[in-house]
Amino acid sequence: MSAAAKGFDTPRQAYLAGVGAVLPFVAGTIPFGLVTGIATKAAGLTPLEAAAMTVIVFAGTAQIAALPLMVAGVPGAVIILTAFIINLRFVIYSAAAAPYFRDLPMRWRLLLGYFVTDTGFALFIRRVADQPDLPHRHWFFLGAGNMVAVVWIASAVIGTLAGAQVPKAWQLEFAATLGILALLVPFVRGRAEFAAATTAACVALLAAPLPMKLGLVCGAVAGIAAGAWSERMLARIPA
Amino acid sequence: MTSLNDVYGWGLWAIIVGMAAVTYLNRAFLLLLAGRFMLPPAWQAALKYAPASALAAIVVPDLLAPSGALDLTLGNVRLLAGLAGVAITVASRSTFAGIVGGMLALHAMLLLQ
Repeated sequence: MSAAAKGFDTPRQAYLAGVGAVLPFVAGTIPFGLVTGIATKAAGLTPLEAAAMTVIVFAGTAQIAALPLMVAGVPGAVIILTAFIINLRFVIYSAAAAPYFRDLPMRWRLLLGYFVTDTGFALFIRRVADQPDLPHRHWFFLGAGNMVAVVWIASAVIGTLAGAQVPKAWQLEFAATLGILALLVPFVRGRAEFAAATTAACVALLAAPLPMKLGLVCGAVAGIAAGAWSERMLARIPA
Repeated sequence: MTSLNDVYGWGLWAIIVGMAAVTYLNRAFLLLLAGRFMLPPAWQAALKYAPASALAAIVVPDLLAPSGALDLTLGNVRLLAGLAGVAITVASRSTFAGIVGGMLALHAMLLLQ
């Protein structure tokens, strides 16, 4: 990284470095994009609806989480609220990235907003941690974001097209549920995360009789509170 | 093949556009404020727990009580397949292996029933 630590001479150099930084993570994105595309088709969306969802929502976790809810006929407002809660993590990312982009014109900030992703954000923050005044850093962010978008959208669309060939008896919409479980595994390594997830699950289960699937929203809010509370309590215990 | 359009009609497009709008707002609104507003640290700490909480609240009732009532019997093949998927994800550290393994477990159990 000694050469990279010198920074970028041109926007093009920064953009290509952003694209390149994403490459090692592509192998993890493609299978998940394929599964999301297949499960979206199996849930009953048309290929056009599935492709539109991938392009304009562009958030795999929220996309895959919406599928079992759609299959269950949950009211649209609750599905949208659920996507909002799942994607609250992006608020943390943009809070951390905003100081680096404060001098950019509004059109740049509008554009970069779409490209705030888990992978792209992590790579950007790691890069500017070494060099906070990195020149052309917005081009690095854009390059990483574009690469994540291209890989995600292509693999999800391919998955949707492949999913159209699969018989209903394969029950591939269940792949969305399995995907949610697999996404939960790395989230619940820490004790506070575990408290958040188990509280959310218990409250959602107990509140399941509530109309409009509001038990899901109660569960999510209770989980967030339990996670934050556990973090405080754990911090008081001497290591 | 049944379509979600039978359930939601044009409302399905409204859901997709609504999901896109709230997702973009989450991503962009602090960038658009350009550092003029900082998120209080306590909020940032709490927001970390949002994804795990929402995902658990979706998936756990769906698996444990598929038709509203708790079903912890061996007849609940989706619950068993989900547990298999989690075990495979933990053991292999691969999301993809967990999904494929869970699907295979589901169909193996459906064949045996």
